[in-house]
Amino acid sequence: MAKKIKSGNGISKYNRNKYIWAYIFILPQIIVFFGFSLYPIVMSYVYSFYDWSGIGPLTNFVGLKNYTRILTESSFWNAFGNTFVYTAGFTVVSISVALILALVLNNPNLKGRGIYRTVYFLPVVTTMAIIGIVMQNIFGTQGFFNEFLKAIGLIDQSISWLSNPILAMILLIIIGSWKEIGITMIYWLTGLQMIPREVYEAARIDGAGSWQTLRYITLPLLKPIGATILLLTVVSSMRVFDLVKTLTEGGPYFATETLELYIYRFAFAPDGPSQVGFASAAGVVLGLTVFIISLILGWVVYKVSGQKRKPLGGGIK
Amino acid sequence: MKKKIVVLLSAFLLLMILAACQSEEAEGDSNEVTLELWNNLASGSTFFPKLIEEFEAENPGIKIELNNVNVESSDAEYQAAISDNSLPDMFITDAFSMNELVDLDLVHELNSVFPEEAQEEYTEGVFDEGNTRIGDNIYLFPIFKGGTYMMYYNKAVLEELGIDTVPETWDELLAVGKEVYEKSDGNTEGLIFGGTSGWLVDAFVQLMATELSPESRMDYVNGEYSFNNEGNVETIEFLKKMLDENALSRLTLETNSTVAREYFAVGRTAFLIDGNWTGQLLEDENEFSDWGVVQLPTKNPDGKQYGEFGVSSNDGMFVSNNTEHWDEVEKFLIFLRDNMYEELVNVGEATIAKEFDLVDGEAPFEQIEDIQDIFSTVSIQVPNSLTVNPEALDVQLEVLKNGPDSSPGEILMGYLTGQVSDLEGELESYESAYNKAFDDALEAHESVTREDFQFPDWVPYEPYTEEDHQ
Repeated sequence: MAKKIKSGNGISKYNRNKYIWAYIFILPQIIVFFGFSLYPIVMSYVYSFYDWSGIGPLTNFVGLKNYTRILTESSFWNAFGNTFVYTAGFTVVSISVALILALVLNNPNLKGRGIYRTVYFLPVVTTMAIIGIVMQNIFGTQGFFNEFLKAIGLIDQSISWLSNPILAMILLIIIGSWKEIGITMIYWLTGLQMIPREVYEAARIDGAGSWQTLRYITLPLLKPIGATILLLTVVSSMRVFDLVKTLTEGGPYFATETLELYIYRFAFAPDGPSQVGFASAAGVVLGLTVFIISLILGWVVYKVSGQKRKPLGGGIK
Repeated sequence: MKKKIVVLLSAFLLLMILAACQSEEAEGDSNEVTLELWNNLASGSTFFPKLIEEFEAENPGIKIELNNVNVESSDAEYQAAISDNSLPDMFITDAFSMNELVDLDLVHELNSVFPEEAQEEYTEGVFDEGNTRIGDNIYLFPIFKGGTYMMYYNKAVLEELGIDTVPETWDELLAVGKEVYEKSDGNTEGLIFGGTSGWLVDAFVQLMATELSPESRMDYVNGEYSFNNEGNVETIEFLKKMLDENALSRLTLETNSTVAREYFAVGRTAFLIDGNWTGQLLEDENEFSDWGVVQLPTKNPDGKQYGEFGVSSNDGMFVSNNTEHWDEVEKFLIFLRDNMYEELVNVGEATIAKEFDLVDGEAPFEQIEDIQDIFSTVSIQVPNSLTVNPEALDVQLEVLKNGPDSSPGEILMGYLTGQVSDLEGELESYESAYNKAFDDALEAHESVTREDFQFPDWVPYEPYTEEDHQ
């Protein structure tokens, strides 16, 4: 192929023009990538070695001081722990519920499944911050949910959903999952529709029931896409910010403060002066944590996808 | 052929862009100067347009472009404007302290706007070092003289329940709070405050604590920080008792100051703790007038409280050092100096920087005088280490940065929700961490000593004036 492009002294005039145009077309994207993606990432690493308030020149180099401070700050580890609790809860709830919904909505005999899919997808296209504010009103002490529970006689006194540390975190996980279930369900549906119909027909001929089909055919064949969904879900949930900011503000008493909110607090909304250098160091730690988790889950995806080809071929035989 | 079309199209587009730029320039009157003003004061969106209109009518060649900045996102906006060297001609911000802005040479001095005779019309202390002035230069145009916190009461609620006592002590507040709850079958509660507004909780707890521990926060005699003291412990335990006995609304735990004010205005609670600006907001935003205001209740009937009198960056206006129209800016500032305070009183602002009695404004509600009285009683000048040694600011900033990531207000909220069980232990570890940050900062700054923070002749609840400093 390469020989065809080269002619005479090298690349032909026609091909050279094509290359030039190709580069011209990707130039804006390259500029945007360097300016808005690479540069901020590199600079956040640079800032993390300075004591910097976000304005003025970078003059006060502090080496690893921001990092050593982070490691000894109990509030950082509290936010770190909260992020993992949220991620674990969000991942379990959103992946499992989305899978159940996808299995139900993949049934070709279900009437109106297009409507159901749209309904479950609606929260995905709603702004997270708006959802946070609306939910705050619904689950407030004087909110609709408490009034509803009182009206049907389940409770006498309002429940403090948002000012109880455990309930607030549970609420955060449930609302976050509800918001994202629609998109996860679409991923699962894609996976389900990629499974060849013949496999199910063969299983039926062999006398497999619904449960056996699910247990021995559907779920094993969904493993590769499941691993990818797991990766995407974990990574996105570790960066939760807008829902926490609008629903609980990290409270009560830092019980739901996640790393993104912690970083925001130090960079833009501190009690004292802004600490962009320190916040950048926390951002770097978060970035590295997400990167390591992505690597581990990426390896899982690779392993599961690799295994997929062997049993499927052998299984059909 | 295709090439020609591409070249022609490109040339046409270029011409269009150039023409657009040209026409934009041609549109503006070459003699007219436009000044940009970024405002983040809630009432500024009411009084600035009126003042600007008057100024523009008097000065046809000058236009003022007002941009009401969202307080929540203003820190990021200012950071971007400073990085981009595009600060507006005039701006109001709490994102950065005056010292930070002066250190970076970002703000213009305003000495010509405030000659000696003009300064005399302002409340004593407004032009002190660290308030609006650094060294010989004034950098902050004072609009307000700081703020304080007080308790508002809903007259309609109290009247409806047949209660004619406005509590002045903790015992009375507890008793009336319980009475409100019982008489209304729990439909109305006693007290509320914006528990999720950390700045509010911190400030009023500090104010209440000074009755029993005047050394609370800064012990001016010994030059060290004090948090685990009788004042903080008793205040926090009293508020917990209020909550447990249904005299403090549980809504407090999940509402910010804005929502708490709304609950108060609609009669969900009888009392509200908030800042001196709340009266104006109750009238304007909540359209509620049937309220009164008293000083925060004290533990003892003759108890005293005090808050630090101080003008912060958000109480005034800065001028960018990069303004290309200083003459016009100066003209506008002099106009504001002579006309603004009247307008501030007209919209209901009580803590104006100028002496209240020297301003002719007509307040839209009569309670403004009560607010003014409470402010004058409670807000007093305290020892200022910056007057002794301006470099003490570096130590203060370092303590703020490296001090513990919590506050007595946060600890109160943790205690109310049950997340903090050992109150004194929590306050003690907070105090130790704060003093450690202070010691480290003093060690790192050789030109500042602990003596700069010690004022052995300080008498609690008495103003510590410029003369005392000398």
